[in-house]
Amino acid sequence: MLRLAGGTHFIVLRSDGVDRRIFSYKRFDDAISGLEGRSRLSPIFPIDNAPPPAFSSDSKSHLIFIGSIYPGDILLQTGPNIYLSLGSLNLVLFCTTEEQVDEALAFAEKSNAAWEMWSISAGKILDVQFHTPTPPQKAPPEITKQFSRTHTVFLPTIRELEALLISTYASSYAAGTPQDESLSAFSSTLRSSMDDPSLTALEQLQLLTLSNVSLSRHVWQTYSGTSPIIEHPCHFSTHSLLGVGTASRGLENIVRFSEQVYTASRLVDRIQHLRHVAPHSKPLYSISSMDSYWQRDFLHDVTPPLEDVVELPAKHLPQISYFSGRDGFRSTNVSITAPSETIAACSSSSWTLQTVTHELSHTQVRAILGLLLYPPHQVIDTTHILSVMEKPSLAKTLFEQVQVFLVHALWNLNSKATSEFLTPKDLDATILQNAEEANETITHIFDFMYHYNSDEERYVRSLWTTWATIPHIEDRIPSYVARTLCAIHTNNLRRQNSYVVTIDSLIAMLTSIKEEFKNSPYVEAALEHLAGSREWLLIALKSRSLLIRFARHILFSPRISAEILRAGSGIEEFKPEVFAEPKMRNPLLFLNNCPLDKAPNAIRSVWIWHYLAYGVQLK
Amino acid sequence: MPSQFELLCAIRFDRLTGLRPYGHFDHDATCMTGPKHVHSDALLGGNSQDLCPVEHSHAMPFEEAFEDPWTGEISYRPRSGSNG
Repeated sequence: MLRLAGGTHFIVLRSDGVDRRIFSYKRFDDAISGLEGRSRLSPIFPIDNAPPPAFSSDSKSHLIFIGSIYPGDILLQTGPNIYLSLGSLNLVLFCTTEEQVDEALAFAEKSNAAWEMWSISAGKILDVQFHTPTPPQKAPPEITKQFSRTHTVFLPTIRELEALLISTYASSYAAGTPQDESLSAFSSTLRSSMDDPSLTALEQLQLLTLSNVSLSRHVWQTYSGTSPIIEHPCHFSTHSLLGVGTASRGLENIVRFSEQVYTASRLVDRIQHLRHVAPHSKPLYSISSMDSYWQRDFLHDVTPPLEDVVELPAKHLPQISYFSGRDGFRSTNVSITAPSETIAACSSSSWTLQTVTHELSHTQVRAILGLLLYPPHQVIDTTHILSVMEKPSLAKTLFEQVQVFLVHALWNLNSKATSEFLTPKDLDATILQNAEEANETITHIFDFMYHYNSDEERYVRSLWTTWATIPHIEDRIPSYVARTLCAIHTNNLRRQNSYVVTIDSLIAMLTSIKEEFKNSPYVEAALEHLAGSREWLLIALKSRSLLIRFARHILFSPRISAEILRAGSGIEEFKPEVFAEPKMRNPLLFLNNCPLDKAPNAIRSVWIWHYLAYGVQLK
Repeated sequence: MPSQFELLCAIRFDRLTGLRPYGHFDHDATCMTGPKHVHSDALLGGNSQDLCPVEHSHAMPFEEAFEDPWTGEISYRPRSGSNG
């Protein structure tokens, strides 16, 4: 079993335009003190207390980079110094004998991995050799085909994307990690979506721009540090030599796993299929949470096996993942981002990757809300919805009843009246006014139920410790408190005095978090808000009660949730900083079970990234 | 991995919450940005009136493309008026 032990070392490449020299340091401050214009720097992480590589020795040595390797698979008998890097060439070996070199290259070949070898004497790089296991391929037509030239102002954006798709394809081959499937799917689905007549010009431009931003960042983050390393610098200063390809792949694996799970669950298809299901005798919003109707798994029990009635969707858009210092955790229709701080600090409560599930939830929730509130080729027919609200027997399908449930919940968000005369125009305005709040509230609830297994303490801790890293969100404290209350209230829907129970339990949890994280500014503010605005929060929670019930009863499927949680194995056998078999199948479960540090821990974070990047066996 | 159907649903939902174009003129305490199109359009010899770097960009009037029948190259139609 390999163990990360021995801290962090730093290697710095310096060039005077003719010669290149490599240096190693034990301390970061020493490594950056002599940085020059052409210098490049990266951390390396020793296995079993390997000392910093002795590059300055007069005798010839070799620095060998191999990737991509799951550290648990490393089997070397000749005793080179072993390190891990966060780059795509994630295994770094310092060899001082020919036997070590021969064994290292044989291991790379046996692993079908890319490798690069620097021959060094007295710190000077004498020679560079590299090998990539995948020869270059011509990109397929799904990637090279021209996009439709529909609008003049799109041209620079389209050209950028066309070039980017081809260069991404080529880069993936050059790195030895071809991305045919996901890149072809992305390109093909994007093109056909762009050609959909229901999209406006601005929506087309937005898709193009988002794709460019996401792909360009994904490419330099994934393929910087690939061979030849000297020609592929990384834009992160602290990783400019070897890049962050391992972290980039780890993040991508989280997204791909989630996509597999939700593609199989077909939540949106199930809701769409309710168009063919007869309505209930009563409006769904009027059925109490105590009623046995909600005891069952709504989406599973009211829809037949979808394979029997609906074809699997032909086209999917794999979302592009990347790190962003500015965007932090964020999702768009084509991308998922995580803060760049997670690269070195994802083991900590403040920068935990668990927060990615909130962004993954947004992808599901936006599609569901779009389906219900903005059906294809038309705005929701609020005249009909209103007539069903007034006369429930007019509902023709269960789908319409689900729509009415949601619209009623939106109206409840800011109406103090128990009944109110509404026109279709009023209802349109209500939907527009409350769509964003509904999106955020339902996303919180969805994330809590599906990804935290409705574990209140873990959820509240995760939310409020990660929010502590976002500057100037004091004005959002009331809505963040309200959304947190909505999520945990799903556990109390069948309790007496449920609103008070929910508020009191949040106060208790935040009080405990405040003790543990004494410097967390927003937890203190949230507790003050909970104490000083209790009546306001009771009203806020009650006004959201229909939305909470909608999310809990309609969108939550215990069976799908169980499948998400079941999809892993052997998770209890993982020991932090140690790489061993078995590999995992469920990165979300792995993140759930990872112990979190109070302060950032680079070594623990490197361990997490390596498991996520190379220890995941996706289907 | 949203299906194309789910993607289009999500895009329609964005109409309700407001479109948020990405990468336009923006500034904060430490930096100012402009869209990449300004730069690349200029490099490609386009007429960048639609993308002139003003602080407050406005909705862009999209015109149909003009395609050179000989080369297949897309170019801009001349526009009347100014963007100033």
